[in-house]
Amino acid sequence: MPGKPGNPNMLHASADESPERKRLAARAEMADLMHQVAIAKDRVAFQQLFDTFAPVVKGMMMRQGANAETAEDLAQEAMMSVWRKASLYQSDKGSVATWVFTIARNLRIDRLRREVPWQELTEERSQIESDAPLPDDQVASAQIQRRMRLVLSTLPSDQQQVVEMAYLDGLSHSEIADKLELPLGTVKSRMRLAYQKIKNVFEGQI
Amino acid sequence: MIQHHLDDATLMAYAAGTLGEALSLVVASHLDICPKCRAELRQLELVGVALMGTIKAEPISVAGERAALARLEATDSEPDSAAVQGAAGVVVPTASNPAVAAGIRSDGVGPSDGIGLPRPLVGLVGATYDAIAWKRLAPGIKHYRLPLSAGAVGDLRLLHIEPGRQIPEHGHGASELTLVLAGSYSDATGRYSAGDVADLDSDIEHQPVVDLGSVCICLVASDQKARFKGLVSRILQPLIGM
Repeated sequence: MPGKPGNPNMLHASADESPERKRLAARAEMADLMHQVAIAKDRVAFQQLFDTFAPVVKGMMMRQGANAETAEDLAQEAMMSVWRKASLYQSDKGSVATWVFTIARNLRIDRLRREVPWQELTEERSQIESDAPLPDDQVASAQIQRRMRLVLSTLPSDQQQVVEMAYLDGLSHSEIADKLELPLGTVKSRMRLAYQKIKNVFEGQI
Repeated sequence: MIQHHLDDATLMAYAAGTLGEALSLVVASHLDICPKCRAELRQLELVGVALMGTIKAEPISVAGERAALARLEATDSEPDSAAVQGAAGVVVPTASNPAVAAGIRSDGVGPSDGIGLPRPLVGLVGATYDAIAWKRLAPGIKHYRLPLSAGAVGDLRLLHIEPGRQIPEHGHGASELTLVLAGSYSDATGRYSAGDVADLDSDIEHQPVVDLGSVCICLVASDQKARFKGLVSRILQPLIGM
């Protein structure tokens, strides 16, 4: 099996397959595994998803201040959510990683910040189960992820910093402003500038 | 037609889950009716996914993994949670308001140019504007304070303002969002009608005034504790001076 448990976005390239094809294969595989969990409650499929995503969620939670034990509990909660709501996942609406990201983010709001996560799962609007083989959207979303990573890594460091402090450290605008000793307006302005560059990815200009 | 949308920095914080409960509810309410901002949010969530790919993954303990797989057995014997139950805290009532469940905006009783209560609000204030227990804040201004979670800092309230009245503004330094639910108001930055969201920097005083002809109902959030006492006294001063 190529790659090792961990982040599907960061599989190691082997000699005979391009990193892009590997990522694409991994993405399709994740969607297939989700499908198996949804229609058959397939525990083996679930375990593969668990091995891929639970360590990522744990890492996310620890980055945002949870200790190892809490982070592990939260990773488990996230994966339980994946198990229970597998039938709501629709592969044409985005990758499994996107779904896990939103589940983990909402869990963090709920458990670490103790606030209500005001997110509506749009998948609930239609309960159609995904039975398609590799949808075209998987190709598009793999490309978008690749370009996104490129843009993020080439942002001016002051913009990259505020974006990472928000998404990875889980800091609010004010918290970032306090930490960097900057006016609130400057923090927001850097985020807007970063996003303007990132938008080029979606508009096919990168 | 919605003309005033959420700022990119606000949506980014929302996508990252850092916006705070009060502001987040206003964002969620606007998103409920604005496809453009929903599309932006999806893109901003993809930024989060890309960054998630850069985090150092932490191995799960053997005991932890075993416990997780054991929980699958227990989970299966639980009754299937209602499909409409989303992430913790987001419940879309169906039995209580079939119109909402069907995606039809329940106009309730109110100005005809209103948009009805956005779904995130229905669980908090009931299905129609009638159900809201308004309290008098100042002449021509009624309000209803929405409760927040114990750990949340901030202020969230509905305002009901008569035509021609000035709307209380937040103080400097606070982040604030205003979503118009019915009627309209105008200020230095333009006219805000039902569905529009005012997401402005707090430095300037905009002096919003409700347009004539309709009551204006707004959802207003601040990331700081209630400042309305001070604000109301500022509004009343011109009246007192008369």
